[in-house]
Amino acid sequence: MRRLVAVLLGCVLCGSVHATSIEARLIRASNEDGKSDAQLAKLVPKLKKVFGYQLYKQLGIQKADFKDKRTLRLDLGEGIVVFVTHSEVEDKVHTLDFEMFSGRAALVKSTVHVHPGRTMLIKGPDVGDTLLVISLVVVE
Amino acid sequence: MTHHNTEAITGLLDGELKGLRRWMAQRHVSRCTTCADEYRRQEQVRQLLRANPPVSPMTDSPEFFWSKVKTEIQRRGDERVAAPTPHLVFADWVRQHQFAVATAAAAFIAVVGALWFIPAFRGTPMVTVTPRTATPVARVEHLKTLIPHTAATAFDDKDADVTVIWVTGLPWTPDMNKMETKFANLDT
Repeated sequence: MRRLVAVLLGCVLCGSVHATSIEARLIRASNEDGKSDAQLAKLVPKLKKVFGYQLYKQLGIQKADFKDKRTLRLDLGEGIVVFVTHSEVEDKVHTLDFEMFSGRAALVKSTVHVHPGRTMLIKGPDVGDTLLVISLVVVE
Repeated sequence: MTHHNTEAITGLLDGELKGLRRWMAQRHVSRCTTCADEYRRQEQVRQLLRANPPVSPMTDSPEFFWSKVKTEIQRRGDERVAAPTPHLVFADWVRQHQFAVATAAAAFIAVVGALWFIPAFRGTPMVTVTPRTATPVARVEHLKTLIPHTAATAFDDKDADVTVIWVTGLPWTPDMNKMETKFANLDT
């Protein structure tokens, strides 16, 4: 019986230990006719509140696990690349250093402390009548 | 029998040894002074016990004593006698039901473990609405842009429940291809 309890407890504890990852999306916002991408179903209401555009298309998505403070390179397409370094986590608050590049140009560089699941939106360049938006979420 | 064996001597005196074992024991006792001494000592004890039989302290004969017990039992009949009941503490109860307790504990851990894997049971508020942004969920420590004439600012949009980094002043391009070309050649 003691072994059974130990095994069950071990399963529970092992199940709770899992990798933390970052999910980045490149989104194009416009006022064209049509429906927004289904992959963005949860994000579209937030995007509309912040940017006001009617249509949102996902141009690229990358997800990668954080490993030993290594810098992750997330190539989102259209020349947009995000470099993310996970430096520490304290009380479930993750500290991230990230840089967003378009080509060779660093558009923005930042250090943020963020809770898992908190969506961060970065307003990128305007292209014609559209706007490029990058979303970042820490996933546990 | 080649060594000192008190049990063998006792068996010899009690007449329990037969045949070859009895002969070997007798032969050893006749040759071994230690065992012969032990044999004589035990034999003396037996003689003393036989000479002094135990005296029964009971004055009544056994038949008369049991007839009195029987009469007393019949007299009391169905009279109930209060027997002392042990007072059980929680530890005694757990000891008595240890398998049930262990099974219940294992089942509880299994259920909690299973619920942990179900996202609906994790972090879901059970009652009414609680402010989701009661604690700051994102804090921007450093923020800077490297392209000339650009600026960035960060804010929490409480309605949308997101943190926004708003970069302004980036060069406008008419389409995606020209944007890639323009930014590809832009050094910071």
